[in-house]
Amino acid sequence: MAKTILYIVDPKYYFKRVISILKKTINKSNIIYVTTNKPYAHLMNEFKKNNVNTSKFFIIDCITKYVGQPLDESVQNCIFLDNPQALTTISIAMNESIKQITGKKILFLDSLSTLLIYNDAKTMAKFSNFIINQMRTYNVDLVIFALESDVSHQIVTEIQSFVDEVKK
Amino acid sequence: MELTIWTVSALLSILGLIWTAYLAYKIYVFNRLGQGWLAMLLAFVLLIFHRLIVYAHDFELFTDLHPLVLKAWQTLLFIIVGILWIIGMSSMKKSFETFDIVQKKTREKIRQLSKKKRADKQ
Repeated sequence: MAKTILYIVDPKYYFKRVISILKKTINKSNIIYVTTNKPYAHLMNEFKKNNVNTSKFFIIDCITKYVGQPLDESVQNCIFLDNPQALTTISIAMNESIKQITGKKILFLDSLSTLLIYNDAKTMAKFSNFIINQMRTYNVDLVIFALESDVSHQIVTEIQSFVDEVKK
Repeated sequence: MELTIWTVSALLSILGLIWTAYLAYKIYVFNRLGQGWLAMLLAFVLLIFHRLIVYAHDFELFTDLHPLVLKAWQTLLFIIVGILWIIGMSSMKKSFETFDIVQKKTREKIRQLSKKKRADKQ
């Protein structure tokens, strides 16, 4: 049965924590990674530096185009979306990648805190609830990251009630 | 009697347009279909304005307004509304095309990736 986990992470060790969680899951599943705060090129460098095997990754990049970095459309393991506000487009890309990638897979949403910068709380609550239940329907595990500093945010409290487990 | 029916239907048409403008605003906020969608909202607001002018004229609130001037304003208003609708609909069309492109691109990239992985294994 699919599991949804919300990780509430200390901003100081944010990426280290992301890496350690990824390393634990990388051998078991294909990974669909939605990045809203690190462009693809930078993310891949960081993964390489930290010895993360990216052969099972498919990345949905919502930030490279938005910050105006040059796009390398020839890369096969990444789709570049317009911006982190394009929630409909993000969910289309997630949906399509889940349908197309065979075998066991996990969706990583990095991060709720960044999406909250670009979208209003009510919209984010609807979007999160939709994604969580869609992943349950597809029987796909979902990992959502949020910053510890956002715990007091009402939306994060609400999302804690939607997920199966909250980890720190 | 005739006046009452006319008054009620005029009020209903204005309320309908206000409701439509509100829905256009909600669609914009929820779906963020691009700034162009705001043109649709503006078009509906102009239509409300138009209905109010016609309504006021019929009740002889603008007695000194020449019918030709009113007609000219109406024509100009409808041209602006038409242009705003074109902008709004083009924006919607672009958004739907984007959805389609993203779906196709994602599918294509994953297929290529799987193919490459299979080739690497062999």
